[in-house]
Formats: sequence, structure tokens, C-alpha cells
Amino acid sequence: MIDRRTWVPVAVAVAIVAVIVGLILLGRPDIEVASLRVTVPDGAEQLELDAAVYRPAGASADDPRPAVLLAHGFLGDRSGSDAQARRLAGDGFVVMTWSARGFGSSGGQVGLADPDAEIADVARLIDVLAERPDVRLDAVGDPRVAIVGGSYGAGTALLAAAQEPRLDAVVAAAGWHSLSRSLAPNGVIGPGEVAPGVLKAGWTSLLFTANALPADAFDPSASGTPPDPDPDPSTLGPGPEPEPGPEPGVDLEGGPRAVGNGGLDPCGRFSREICEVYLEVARSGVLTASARAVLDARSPAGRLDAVTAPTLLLQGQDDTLFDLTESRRNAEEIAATGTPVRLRWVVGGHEIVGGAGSDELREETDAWLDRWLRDGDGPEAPAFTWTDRAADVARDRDAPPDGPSPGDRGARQVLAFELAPDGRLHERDGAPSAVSDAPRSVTLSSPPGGQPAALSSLPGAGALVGFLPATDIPGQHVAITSAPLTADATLLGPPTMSLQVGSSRAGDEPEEPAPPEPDDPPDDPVGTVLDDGGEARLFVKLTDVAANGSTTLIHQAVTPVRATSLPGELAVELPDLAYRLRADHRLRVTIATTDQAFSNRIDGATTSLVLGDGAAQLQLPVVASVTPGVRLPVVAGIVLAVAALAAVVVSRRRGGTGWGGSSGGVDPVGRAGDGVVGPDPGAATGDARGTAKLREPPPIAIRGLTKRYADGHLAVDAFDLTVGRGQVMGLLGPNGAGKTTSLRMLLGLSTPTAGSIRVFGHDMRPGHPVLGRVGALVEGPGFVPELSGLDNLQLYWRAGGRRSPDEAELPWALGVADLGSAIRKPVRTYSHGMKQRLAIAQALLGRPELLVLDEPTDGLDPEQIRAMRELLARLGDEGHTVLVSSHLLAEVEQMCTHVAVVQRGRLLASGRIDELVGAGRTVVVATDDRDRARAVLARHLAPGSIEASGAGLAVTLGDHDPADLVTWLVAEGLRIHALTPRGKLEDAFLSLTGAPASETAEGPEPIGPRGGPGGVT
Amino acid sequence: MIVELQRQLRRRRTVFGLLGIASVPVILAIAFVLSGDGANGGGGDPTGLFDLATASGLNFALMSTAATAPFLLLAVVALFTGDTVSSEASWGSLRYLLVRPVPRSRLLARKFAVGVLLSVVAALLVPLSGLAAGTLAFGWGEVQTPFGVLAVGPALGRLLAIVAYLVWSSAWVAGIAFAWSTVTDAPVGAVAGTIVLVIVVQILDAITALGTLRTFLPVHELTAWIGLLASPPQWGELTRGILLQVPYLTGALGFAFWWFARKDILS
Repeated sequence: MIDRRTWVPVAVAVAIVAVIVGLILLGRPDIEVASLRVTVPDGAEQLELDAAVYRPAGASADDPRPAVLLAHGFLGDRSGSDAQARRLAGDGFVVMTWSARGFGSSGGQVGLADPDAEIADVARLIDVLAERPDVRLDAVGDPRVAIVGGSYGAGTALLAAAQEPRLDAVVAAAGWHSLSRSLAPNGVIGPGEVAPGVLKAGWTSLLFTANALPADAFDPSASGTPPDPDPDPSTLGPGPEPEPGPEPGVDLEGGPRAVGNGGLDPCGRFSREICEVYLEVARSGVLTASARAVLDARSPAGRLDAVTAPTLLLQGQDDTLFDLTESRRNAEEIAATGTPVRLRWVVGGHEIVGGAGSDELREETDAWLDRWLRDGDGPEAPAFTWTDRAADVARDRDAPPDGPSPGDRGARQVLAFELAPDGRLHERDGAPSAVSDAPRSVTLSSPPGGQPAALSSLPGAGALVGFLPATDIPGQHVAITSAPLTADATLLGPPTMSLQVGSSRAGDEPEEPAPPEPDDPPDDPVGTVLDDGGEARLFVKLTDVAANGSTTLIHQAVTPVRATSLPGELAVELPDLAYRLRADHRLRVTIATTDQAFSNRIDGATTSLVLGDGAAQLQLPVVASVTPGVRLPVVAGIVLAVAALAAVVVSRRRGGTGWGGSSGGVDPVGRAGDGVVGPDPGAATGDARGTAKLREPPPIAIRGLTKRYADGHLAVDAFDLTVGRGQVMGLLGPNGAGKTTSLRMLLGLSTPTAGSIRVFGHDMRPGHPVLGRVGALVEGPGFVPELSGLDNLQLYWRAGGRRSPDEAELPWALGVADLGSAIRKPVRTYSHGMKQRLAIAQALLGRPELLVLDEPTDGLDPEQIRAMRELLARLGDEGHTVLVSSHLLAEVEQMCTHVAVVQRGRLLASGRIDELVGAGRTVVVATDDRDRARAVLARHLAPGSIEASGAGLAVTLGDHDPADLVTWLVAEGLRIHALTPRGKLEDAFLSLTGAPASETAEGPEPIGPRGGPGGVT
Repeated sequence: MIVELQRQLRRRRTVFGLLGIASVPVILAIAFVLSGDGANGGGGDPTGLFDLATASGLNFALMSTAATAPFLLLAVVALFTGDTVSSEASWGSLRYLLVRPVPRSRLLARKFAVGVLLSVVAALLVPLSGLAAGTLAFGWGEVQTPFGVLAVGPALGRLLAIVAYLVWSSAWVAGIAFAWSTVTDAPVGAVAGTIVLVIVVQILDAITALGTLRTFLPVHELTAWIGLLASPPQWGELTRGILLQVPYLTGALGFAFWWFARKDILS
């Protein structure tokens, strides 16, 4: 049967599912992708770039959108930007991706972000965008456009921003500032001219051989743009298949290159210029001046003052290709002209722009584009945010950390250490040489041929690096460790070192370390010429040593130090740190002569370092640590919640018995709260106990009680009843008459539709305190099945307010129940009769003044019924009031002093039993001749006292004795077969209800029109 | 309230529920010990704690807490709060409890308080039993977390804070189960229905296509307690999770009290 209880939850469930499916379907953006070829000038000729435009549905000439140029990274082509392009198009931008020269199916050769080639191409792409009707224009030929790129794409973006004023926003992730510094760094910053740096052999060989091999030799998802790590599956639908790149080694323009199996042309698709630079650098391991010039021409350094577009710079803190200093210098140069710039450092290495990009990159990019391309409102992002890896939380600051500037060392906070020959880093408080050991020279050798070399990191290995055992080769390095720190130290900015390096002699020369002369300036200021002191090539690492001995190479950073004017005191600047050194951790400085990631010297030289007495010092830039405490909203929320709770509790206490009052009030006349009423003038108690009782309110006074159910059935219809003290009132009526419903309302279990109920003068409502004087048995027993009968009674008594167990009169109640030892067994083992007796005992707990019993004899045997009868009579005599409801006439007649007859929810009559039925008695006499008997009796009795009843006569005797009846009949010769008294109440009942005798016999009522819908009795 | 507590404590389902959830860490400990040193967390571990479970007793307690938090604890909470009122209705004893000089709201409040108390006990039993089993199996020691190492003292404090957060995060389950139990007469309906709702909400939380709607689901911030293991502990991350429970709890409880006060008790 489908009724309300079934289809409502089903309908709700169906509705929820429909809403969810609808949301998913609606959330799918509608994007059109069109690929195109863009022709760009290449010297005197032209070449074609492979590009694609992602257009959101709804973009048109009437609704132009801002545009985004997505540049890709160094491995792969525009197909790597596909996911992010779709996502940005879904956000409402018109997105253009293209394969740079020499990548994918674009023509040309890789010029490595050549301003005259690749960067000039960007201008042409912007022209294409400006011609589109669905792109928003700031001016004729000037679209509202941003450029977004990572790694190679970032450099492209920054150089393009410097060269192309039409760009309105820039997002550059993991980009470079100076390509020569990134590929061949040298930590030395002075004094004098700085020697050329040491080539990052690992990275450069990886990058330069990449384009000589097929694209799928490397991770195809490692593209250059900040990707979407959580692609909407609905957008990975039909789109143009990314076209496979040309065969490796096949040049679209320029001459044919060497191809064929096993013969890889190392130049691949690089331009001749770049190829020559690489080959030269790879052979010598050193950047020549011409090579440096080529790389500097392709670096944003020195060009960024022309950038007017607001720029977002993102960098991974563990990036070993382009470290944090690169991004900081970019930010400083752009900010110097007042252009808005935001610098964000995130956890991760160079791989953050690869397939496994992060949520942060996506959020930052979206927010930046929204703000600057769409004039979005929103809180201004702080200028600089870095990520405290140990706490996994981002920290904002107003400005990037300061780079070194000679004049203002004093303004910064520094944590200064001195490197001592005893292998310890001693903290210095600013006072020079608080602890000094006698200076000593430490000799480090570098292996001939450059192997074995220390292993610190692998380029591009990203997250795997933590699992590699970093090794330092004995004899090649010196590791100087501090004592455990007493407090956390947050390091932000570039550390500086001063190192005193002695001579560095090749292995076949006599080892004769020169004595340290820190006061003599070096003789030869020109560092590029190998002089008598030789060349020093060292690698400096900072390591965080935990209390349990595990080490972390801070930012995976290894800084090469190369100097050729020896012996000398070198000023070294290490790459920027964004790191919190925790208390109990130790800092270790490792200076080694080799490192796998760099180009190592092969001449097997030995180098001497001077330690102690201020010869070697390390200064770390420190900022104040901010420990996030409990946030204010949490505290405020808790305080508010507690205050609200307290207010509620206090108001409940003051408002008396609480919630039930406002809703359960029974009195429709508007008597709010607890109205105590005096004697009820309408009471027809007929009580013979004297007028004193009339001054007290009657135990039960019901007026006009009506209950109509939601389906319209009228269960109780203007019911009036008054029960006086000491009365045992029987509520008599067939099933369905509304007896139980009335009792429920009397006890506060149901709410009447109309009418008033007063118990001891108090308006009844659920949980009213007057219920403490009431005991009830309604609709059968109800107990916790697993507990014993005794436990049930005890817990029940104690659940009702603050009443002590002594008041319960438990022994007396248990005596009434008469269960014996079964009282300690669980209730679920009881029979129905036992439960009924226990329920009666529960109602009797505390000897209540008013007892309300609904069908109390149900399930009891005759012996117990008789016992109950006696009990109720006794209670009545003691002054207790009892209200018993039943449909069994004989019971009511035997148990009660008063009776109220109910039918179909209406009260038909109420009063004393004897008053109700009159003074006479009735007997039924069966004779062999009814008519003659009737005539005989009519002579003696009043007319109307004789009626036919079945086969015999019902005779109302009045004052006569039944013996007289016998005498009269026998005197006439009639034989008497039977003489039985007829229930008086039965008479009254029958006359009142108008029901034939057979229907009111003891037993179950037929379920007919008189019985209402189920459960209403 | 003591009376109500006694009433509930002696029931079989209370004892079995508490014993059941307390036995989960013991079973896990046996599993880890038997599977040898090669045990790792396997798939489906969002916290990174499963790999470190055998490092020490405290680690194991943390891992058991993490394991029971997403579902089992919520199911037990639903059991303790969803069963209270409707089971009384099904036995027929609810009407007798209401024919007392005690307002309906106070009765309801007592029942809810006892349900919550039992839920808290259940939530505490998990780390306690995990601590006992873990210490027996793996020894006592400092805690290794994905963020580093914690000493024993602070780790115990963090564990307590994590349990408190998890208990609060189950407030919505308690509220909805309780409200349901005031509506229905069948305790199975309230408890099982709430458990099904928990599962459905967890599934919804995993559907990323719903976007920002997911952030309003009450289970969305369930795993934010991981921040408490960091050094220094990230209290602020839990803010949203704490506030997220408030509307659900107040809505469900408000409905339960309002409905129960007006209801005709027909059971």
C-alpha cells in the first residue's frame, strides 16, 4: 500500500538524487576547441606555429571575454596545457595555447626564449587574439589578455611582459631571472670580480638532450604550465587530439640533420646558436663570456623595469633548477617600478609545474586572473607568502625578504655562526669571536676524474629525492655542526658566508698549503685567470639534523663556490631560504669538493680551508616566528555557545517546568501557565462526605473535552466528567468510545483539540508537577525488557523528579503485584498477566492520590480480579481517587462506586451506580407459562415493571423480595424453572446506549460501525 | 540523569557497542603483528599514519583513531543516540516516562545527554584500547607523524584534542539520529536510517563534481584533525569543522525538542 509514510521518504530520496545529478550536469562547462596555424616572421622568411583556441560557450561579439595565453614547459608541446586550458575556458576566458618554436608541430628551432624569435611570436599571437570578435578589447588591437606559463613558459611570459606592453597580467611559475646564474651558479659575490660559475651538469644535460629524443621518453605530463591537478572529468570529452610531434631529428626548416637509429643529433631542434653554447659549456664545464652573453640575452634580468602588467610569481621552495633567489630578484625588479607583484613560495621542487601540480598554484592563478583581467574585487593578496613546511602552513608577509645590500646588515636579524676546526658551529651573539679556536687549515681533496662525487639531489626527481641516501665522500668534505638550537629559528632570505680559502693545488703538485693571511688582500683581483693559487671549486650545503639523527638537505640546495684568485677571503651568498629550523635540531654546514649534480674538476686537486678565529662565518637571516594559536572565531564561537546554553538553562529554571508549558496547555480560554482553580461549581459529585470537600478542587474535572484526529475522525466529543475525592469511578463504554483517548489526554500524553482538563485544580499539560500525585496504567504494561521487574520499578520511581526511594512504598506495591521471586528476573520472561500485575504495582508506587487505570483486569485470572476489586475498594475508603475504564459491565459494577457511560466519544450519563440504575432490583424469571405469569405478577406490581426478556420475564421488584415473587407464582400453580438477578448496570447501560442485550455480553466487541478506526478506544 | 544512565548502561546493546568499538584496535594490532614487518598502509590512507602505525604504542593509538573516525565511530554514535527514545516507544515504556512530573524536554535532554556521554566513552575507548594493544605489541615511545616527531607528553595532549574534535564532528550524527528517534517508534529505523545517511553523505563528499557544495557537508572537514599533529599544532584549521557542526546540531535538536513537545504519544 502506498501511503504517506512510504512515498514521502521515497520522494525525498528521488528529489535529492535528481538535484545532485542536475548539479553535476549543469556544472559541465561547454567549450569549443579550434586549432589553427599562426604565421610568424622568421628573419626574412616565415614559419608556422601550431596553436589552439579554447572558447567558452557564450563568448561572442556581444559577450567578449578576456583572453589567456598559455605557454608550455620545456618538455612537450601545447598538448600539456590542454587540461588547464579547458579549466580556464570553463571559467570564462578565451584561452590560446601554442607550441613554441621547435616544439611539437610548430616550425622553427628552439631559440630558448629568444627575444627576437619566441618572444616576438607572442606579439603576433596577441594580434590574432585582438582580431577575434569574442575577445574583450581595451583598445583597438589591444585585447585584455594575460600570459601564464611555467618553467620555460615562465621565462617566456616574463620576457614577453617586458617586451609587449599589451599584456595585462602575468603568471610565471618556476621561472628564472638569470639563465646564466641558474645554469652555472657561483655563490661567490666578492671581493672583486667573480669567477665564472660551475655548470649544473645534471640539469643542463637533461634539458638539452630532451629535445633530441622522442617526447614520450620523458613523462608526457611534465609540461611547463601550472596544470589543473583535479581535472573535471566532464571536460575530458571530445576535443582535438593533440597531434604527435615530428620525428626526432627531422628539421622542418633549415638543413637536414643527422637522423637514424642510434645516431642522435645532440642539437636536436635547437638553433645553432644555442647548440653551440651547449656543446662548448658541456665540454669545458665553464660558461665562457660569449656563452654568458647568449644566456643573458634570454633572461629577464635587467629587463623587468619595462613590465607594467601585474605579475604573480610562484616558485617551489625545493627547486634546484631555478631557486628561490631567482624569483625574489624577479619580484624586486618588477616591484621597483611600482608594478603590482605577488611572490608565492610553495612546497615542492621544479616538478610543481609538472603533472602533479598543486591546489595552491591553481588557486593563486585563478585569483590573480580574476582580479586583474576581470577587475574582480576581493581582498588584496599580501605581497609575499611562503610555506612553512614543518607546520604545513602558508605565512604571509608584506614584502619579500631583503636581498643583500651592503649598507643594511645591521637592520636585519641574523643568526650568526662561526665555523670552528673542532667540527662545531658556534653561535655568535654579534660580539666578535665569543668562542674562538686557534685557526686551523682543513684540507679537502677532490678525486681525479671527478668521481666518486657526493650525491645530494637528482634533477627532476622531485619527491623521490627524500628517499635517496645523500652521501658525502670522506676526505672530500668537512661537516661542521652546531649544538642543538634552544628555540625555533625561522630563516627567511639569503644567508651569507665568509670563507677563507687557501691555495688549491692539483694532485701532482706538492701539497703545501699556504698559511692563512686574512689581513692581506688578494694579489690578483682578476679572477678568471688561474694564478698560482689555483682554482678552488667547493660546494656548500646546509643541512637540518633532527634529534634522532635524520638529516634534511634544506631546499635540496647545493651552492657551488668557485674562485681563482687564491688564497683569499671569499664572500659567499647562498640561495634564499624559507625554512624553520626547529628547536632541538642542529644545523650542519657541509663544504665538499664534489657534487654529482655539477660539473666537477678532474685534476684531483687539494684545497685548503681555514677555519676558526673568524676565518669562516655563516650568517642566517632570521625573522620572528609566529605561532598560530587558536583563532579568534573559535574562541568567540565557544564563548557564545556556552553563554547561549547558560541563558537557556537559566531561563528554563525560572520559567518553571519548561517547554511543555507553552505547547501542552489544554485550556483554550487562554489561561496561560498553571491555573489553579477553586472548587468547581459544575461538579456533581453527589459525595456524601460533607461540604468540606467541596472547597477543595476535585481530582478530575474535565469540561468540553474534544479530540479530532488529522483524518477528521472525532474520537472524543465535548466530554464532561468530574470525579470527586474517594470515588472509584468506572468509565464504561464499548471499544472505540473514546475512553483511552480521554485518559491519554487526562495524563498529558495527547493534546486535546478543545476543552479543559483540570487535575486537582491544575490545568493539565505534559509533565505537569501534579502528575506526581497520579499513578497510571494506560493501554497495557511497558517495561524495559532486559531489566528485572524490580529494577524497572526502582528506576521508574527515581526517574520522576527528586523523590526518595523510601516514599515509593515498594514493599506494598510488590505485595500487590504478587510476583514472588520472579521480580528479579528480566521482564521479557514474564507472561502477560505478570506484566499486567507489575504495571499495576508501578501505578501504585508512592500511594498516589489519584489512580488512573485503563482496563486493569486485562489478562488477570478471576482470583486476581477479585483481589484487585478489594484493593480498589480499600483505596477508595482511604480517600484515594480511582478512575477505571473498562468495557466489561460486570467488572465496573463490582469494582466501582460511580460510573460514567461513554459512547462514541460522548458522555451519556454519570453518577453513583445505585442512583443511576434507580432503587429497584430486577430479576429474570423463567416459567412454563409466560403469559399467565405476567398476568399474575401484574396484579401485585406496578405496570411497567414487567417486560419480556428472552423466554422469560424481567421483573423490577422495587421494594418486594424475590421470595414474594416465588410465592405469588407458585400459588398460582406455575412452575419456576429459573430465577436469576439481572445486572442493574446492564439495564441502565442498555437503555442508555440502546444496544440489544447480546451485543454487550462479556467478551470482545464486534468490529462494526460503532468501533472507530483502529486504536481509538 | 544518573537514572537514565543506569537505564541505558544495563542494556545489551550498550555493552556490545562499547565492547565492539574497543575491540577494533585490538584486532588491528593482531593483524599488524601477524603480517610482519612488511606491513604498510596500503591504499586508501589519506592520513599517512597507517605506515607509521607500528612505530610505537602511541602511533598505534593514533592510527586506530584515524581508522575508526570516518565511519565506525559515527555508526556507534548513531546507535547510542538514535536508539534511546524510539526503543522506549517500541517497548511501550515511553508513555510511562512521560506520565511523570517531569517536563518532556527535560526527559529528552536527559536521554540526549546520556546518548552523548556514551558516545564520548566510545570515542575514548578507541585510543585507550589502541594504546593498550599498541604498547603491548609495539612498545612505548615517541610519536612519529608525517610532520616529524612528537614527544610522549605533547602527543598525549594532541591525542586528547583529536578525540575531542572527532566527538564534536559527530554532533550532526547524534542530532539527526536523536531527532529521528523521536519521530519513529522503531529504533532500527532511526539507527539504521542514520547510518545510511552517514554513508550517503560520505559518498556525496567524494563527488568532486559537486564543487563548493561539498564544503557544506558536515563530514567535509572530518580529516582536519591532522593539523593537530603538526608542530606547532594547527588549531586554526579546525575552525571551519567546528563551526560546520553547529547548524546541523541545532537544527536537528531544535526539531527533536519542538516535535516531541507537541507530539501525541500513541506508542
